Amino acid sequence: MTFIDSNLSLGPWPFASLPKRSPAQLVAHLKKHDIGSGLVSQLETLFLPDPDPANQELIRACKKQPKLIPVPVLNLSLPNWRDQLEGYREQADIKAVKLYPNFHNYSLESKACKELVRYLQGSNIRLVVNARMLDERHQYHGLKVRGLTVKQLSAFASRFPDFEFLCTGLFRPEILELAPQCPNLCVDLSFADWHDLINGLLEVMAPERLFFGSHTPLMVTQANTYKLQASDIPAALKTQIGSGNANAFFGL
Amino acid sequence: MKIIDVHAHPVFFGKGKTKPETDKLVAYAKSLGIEKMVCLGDVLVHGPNPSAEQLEAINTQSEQLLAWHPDFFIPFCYLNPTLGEKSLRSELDRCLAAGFQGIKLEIANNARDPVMEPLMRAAAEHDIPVLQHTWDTLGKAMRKTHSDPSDTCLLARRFPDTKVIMAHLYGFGVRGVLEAIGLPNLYIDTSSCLPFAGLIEYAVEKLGPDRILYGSDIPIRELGQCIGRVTGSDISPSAKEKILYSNAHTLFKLA
Repeated sequence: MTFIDSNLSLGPWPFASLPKRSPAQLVAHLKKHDIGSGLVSQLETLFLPDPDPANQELIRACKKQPKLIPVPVLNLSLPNWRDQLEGYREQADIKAVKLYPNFHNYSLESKACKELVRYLQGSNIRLVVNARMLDERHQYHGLKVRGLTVKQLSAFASRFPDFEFLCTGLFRPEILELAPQCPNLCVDLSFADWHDLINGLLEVMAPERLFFGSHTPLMVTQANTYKLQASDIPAALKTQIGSGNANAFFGL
Repeated sequence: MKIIDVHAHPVFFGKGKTKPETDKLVAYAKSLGIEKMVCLGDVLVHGPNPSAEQLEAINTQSEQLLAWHPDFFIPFCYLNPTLGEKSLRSELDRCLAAGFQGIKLEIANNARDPVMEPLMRAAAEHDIPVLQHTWDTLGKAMRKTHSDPSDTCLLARRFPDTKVIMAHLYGFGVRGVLEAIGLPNLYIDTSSCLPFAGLIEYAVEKLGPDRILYGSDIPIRELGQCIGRVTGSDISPSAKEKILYSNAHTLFKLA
């Protein structure tokens, strides 16, 4: 099975000793784990006051590594996010943009969010919303960033019921709670965990809403590939979750 | 790939206790290469401070799993040290006679508490390991019952003739690994939490591969994820084999 990874990052993470990989090294690493391609964002965008330089660097890098699909991060608290997005679209075929609302200090209820959704609805660009980067229990004590809540995500999904989006970093109980009330919500599986996980999730949601995500480099890549490979579900379903859903959703 | 899982709860809040459920779990685990699984019991079903009767019921359930799959399960006797020596000796003797091979401690008390002494003496007499739930409690109001890695390591230091398994590498983290340096009777297990990168590599670098044991903490975790965090770590094939299998094989004196 060849995966498409919907949750990849490049760049340094200041709170752990993680493998430092160049874009080429990341591609080689992914290949080793049967990941053929992936949607990647720059970690520096979480910490810089303006994510643009890191997004620009990412787009340049991905041009040399076509297996990496650049996903620029928009900081909707800045006034020029739309101009930045237009600029990225001039440089590359942008398949998705990513939001980290709790790192960038804006709400999913903000006016800018509404404007972004309207913009994306008029394009073929998908939205990825990151709920969390780490298990909150183990964050560095000097930087505690709460995950997005079920209530926030539910309100966002309900506000735009015809707008499908992917949320990365949700725990299993959160997915179980959100799935029935938010049919437009898709999720990656990197933070979801429980014995017989996928069969449990399929009791409340359709398989096309489940996406493979490794959360590399913050997580051990193989932990998430093997989680799907070893799951007790039919092979066709593994392929659908491992690559088919991302392929269709992002128009790859 | 052969695996021994030293940290599992096949029955959890009552789920998983029937024979069909158990058979299904065993078949699935074996399909992933798991040859044996330590059964720690349904440890939280009666809260953090179970009575003697509740412990007996939990351990009887583990005994049932052993009867169904004697070549697969390695049951540990779940005890509450705060109930006193007479109570714990009675339950431990009953369980050892039934084929249990270790002691499981959860969150009834802190590992530094004096109530641990009779339990640790009993473990030494029977030459069985004690698996202690451990978590990083720094800055958290939970230390009275949740053992910090410094508490569990102090326990191992106080009782050098007893093998202690400090549970939850991904719960006690880097500080716990450093606390574990220089304690030959202390093992750590790889169970719990999500597979954040770098921790197994760090543990092998600081402790060597011989005192690290694979554990999953199912059903709270998915077996594939737990195995993948070891097989996908950047350590030698020999170290992976030791962690996944041979260290536990030696610890349990398996043939």
